Amino acid sequence: MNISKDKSNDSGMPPPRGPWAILWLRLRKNKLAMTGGLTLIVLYLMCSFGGFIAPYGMNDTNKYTVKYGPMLFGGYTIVKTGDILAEDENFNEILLPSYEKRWNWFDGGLHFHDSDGNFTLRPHVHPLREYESWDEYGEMEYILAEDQTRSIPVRFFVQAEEEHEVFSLCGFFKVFGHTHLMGLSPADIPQEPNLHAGLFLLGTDVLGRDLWTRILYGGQVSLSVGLIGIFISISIGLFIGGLAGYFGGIWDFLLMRLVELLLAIPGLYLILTLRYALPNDLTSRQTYIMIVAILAIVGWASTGRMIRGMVLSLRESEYALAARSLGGSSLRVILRHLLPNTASIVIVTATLYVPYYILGEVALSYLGFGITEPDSSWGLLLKDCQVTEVMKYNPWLIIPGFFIFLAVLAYNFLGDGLRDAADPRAFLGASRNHEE
Amino acid sequence: MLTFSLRRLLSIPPLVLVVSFLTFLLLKQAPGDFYSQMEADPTRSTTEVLRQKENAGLLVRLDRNQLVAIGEFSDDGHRWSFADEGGERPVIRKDGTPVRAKEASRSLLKFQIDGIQYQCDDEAVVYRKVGAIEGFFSWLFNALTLDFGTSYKFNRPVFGIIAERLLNTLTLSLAALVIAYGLGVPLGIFAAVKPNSRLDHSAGIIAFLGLSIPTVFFALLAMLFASYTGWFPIGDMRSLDYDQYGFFGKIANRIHHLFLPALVLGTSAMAGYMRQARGNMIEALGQDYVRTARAKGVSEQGVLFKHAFRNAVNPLVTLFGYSLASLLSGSLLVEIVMNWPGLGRLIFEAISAKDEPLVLASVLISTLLLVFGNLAADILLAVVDPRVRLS
Repeated sequence: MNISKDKSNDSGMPPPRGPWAILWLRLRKNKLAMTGGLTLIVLYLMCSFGGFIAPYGMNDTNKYTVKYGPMLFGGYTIVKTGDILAEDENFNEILLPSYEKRWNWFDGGLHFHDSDGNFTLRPHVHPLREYESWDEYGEMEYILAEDQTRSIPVRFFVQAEEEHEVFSLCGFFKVFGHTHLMGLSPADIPQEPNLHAGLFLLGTDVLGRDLWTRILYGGQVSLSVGLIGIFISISIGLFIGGLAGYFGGIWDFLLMRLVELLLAIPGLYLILTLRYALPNDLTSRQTYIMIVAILAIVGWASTGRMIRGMVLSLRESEYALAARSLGGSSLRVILRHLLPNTASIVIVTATLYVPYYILGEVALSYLGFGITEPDSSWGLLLKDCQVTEVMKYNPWLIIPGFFIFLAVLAYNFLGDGLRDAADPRAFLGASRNHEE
Repeated sequence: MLTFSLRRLLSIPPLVLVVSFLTFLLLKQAPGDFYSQMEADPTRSTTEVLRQKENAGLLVRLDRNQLVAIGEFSDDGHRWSFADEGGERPVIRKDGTPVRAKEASRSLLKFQIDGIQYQCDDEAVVYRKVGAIEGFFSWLFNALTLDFGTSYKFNRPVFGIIAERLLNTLTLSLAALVIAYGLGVPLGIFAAVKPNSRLDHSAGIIAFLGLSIPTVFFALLAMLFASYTGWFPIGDMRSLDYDQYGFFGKIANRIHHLFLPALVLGTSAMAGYMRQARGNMIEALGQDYVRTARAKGVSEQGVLFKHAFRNAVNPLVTLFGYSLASLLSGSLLVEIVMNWPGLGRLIFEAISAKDEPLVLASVLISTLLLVFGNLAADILLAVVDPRVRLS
């Protein structure tokens, strides 16, 4: 290292860059890849601090605000549809009102004027009132809509009465606290019968929980499953692929038959069958570990085969031969010489494969075999859409899907950029980036 | 090539055997089975449930001699024995004193001797639980005659159910493939002819979106679209009034139902084909023969379609075989979300109901599909491209 440095200083050239520096330089030029990377950083940070960003706790339910629309995009107002003729207890004819709620896009919901109608920079929300609506059979139902005559300010750094987690690292290391980034202060909420208030930026789910809060908590599971899963399966793949490729012979034969076996069963069928063999009464921590384990068991095979192929060819390279002839042990040659040379491709493959783990968790949880209530994950949140009628009348329930899409898209952008930056020749014949 | 195909064909039976064996063990490993709930239900007679389990091949009824051969054993602190004393049935002794069948069955509901599990019904008829290995071999011998057992849930032979559902899945996958090829290959070729054009860039974005959109999410969006516009039916393969249509009406009805699921499944596969087609075409356009053709004065169209296109598209013919794995996994989700009665939804229903014969057969048939798909792709590749030598 020193020698080359001296040389370059003599010739007045800048010092030569290492392979990682070159990779970074190339990657930085790829706008899509950088956007993807940045999106991922934001997503991961957002979900790690999910408890702080969310206005509520993960399971704060409010039975009065079930399936309320997303305040970020508008709000419901009440429309009188007619009167129902009825009799009171003294047999006098009375008229009972019949209402219908109507969705107003970007009108109501989160807005920037106070109760008196003056513009302010502080966002406000309207309180929600339960209106008694009668139908022709004399049945009364409550319809929840905004009381637009009043506004409640949204406060920043509000203190919640209960303690919630503020920061969480993949759901394992948690910090608790009372502060939320934004929310409604209890002091601002008028105490009246039939009047409720909430800050539901992306609406509420079928149990009246804030969807944005659930998304943030769910992301902790969905996003970390991808990272931990790929870490485990790449480790297994490196170990087994390295073993099979370096030693060859019977090892190679047996391990590759195992790989073929795993690849012969269509992924989701294998995942579901493995899930079937495991018990149902698991705690949330156990469920999480089970999902990661299943996905890693299914996922290591293809990386293992790839690494085996690379080690097989690298084994015959001059430097490996030199290391062997200098008396290097097998372990040393594999660990010091062969595996580091696969590093760039391993990193690229890992980035491109993370989406499969995220999607695996989504599929398992959506089908009801993964994360279950009362926990949260992006797949589980989509489960509310299983009944098409529910989805049709509460279309915001599909919003978690956009977050999955975003995460997968970001990983694909980053992985594609990394692939081009790492070593274009190593992936000759593989599909190409469109930003050539 | 013949030897290659033969060798590959010969490697399939062992693979299928191992897959079915491991799947069988996995399913046996699962806690509880289809009948656990029935057994726990006090309103059902144990005799009835155990007889059903016997029919399903989970239990074997012990005859008189086998019962006597069990000898003396202890259970719950009591000594039990079955003794042949010439009567109609063996006499059951508890701690040496004969007891009546009802009393015996109450305390001997489930017992274990030397690792073998026994179950006892209301009339003290004793059944032995079939072990995993034993069960597998009896399943295997039946399977060789295409008898894959009877589904617990549907109470019908598994083979018939699978055949029906397999046809639906193949229809869906085929339609998806047609969409994927029909859209993906032309888009990829046009993008490659004018690289870095607006078309190329938008094709690239479409490819990224198609690759990245989660199947569940996409299928849900399609359902949302269908329920809002009413243009497409929500789920299932045909309408309720299907039988009233004429021949063409029936076909139209089927296509109407097929369109949306196939589009969802096809779009995600399309992205891969498009990228591949574009890459192949760009590579072909850079070859010497293209330059030679241009130098000879062949028209640009002739160069593109006669020389480059053919070479670029050949490898794509085989892609479908390799994409079968993702297609099968993808169709599983599409079928469940969009209510398409295919193989994927079948395994989901079977797993939810703990219907072991059905799960086993679905896994097996999907594996066979995949293995044969890959084999077909390998052979096709050699057929269309003489440079590929199979050995």
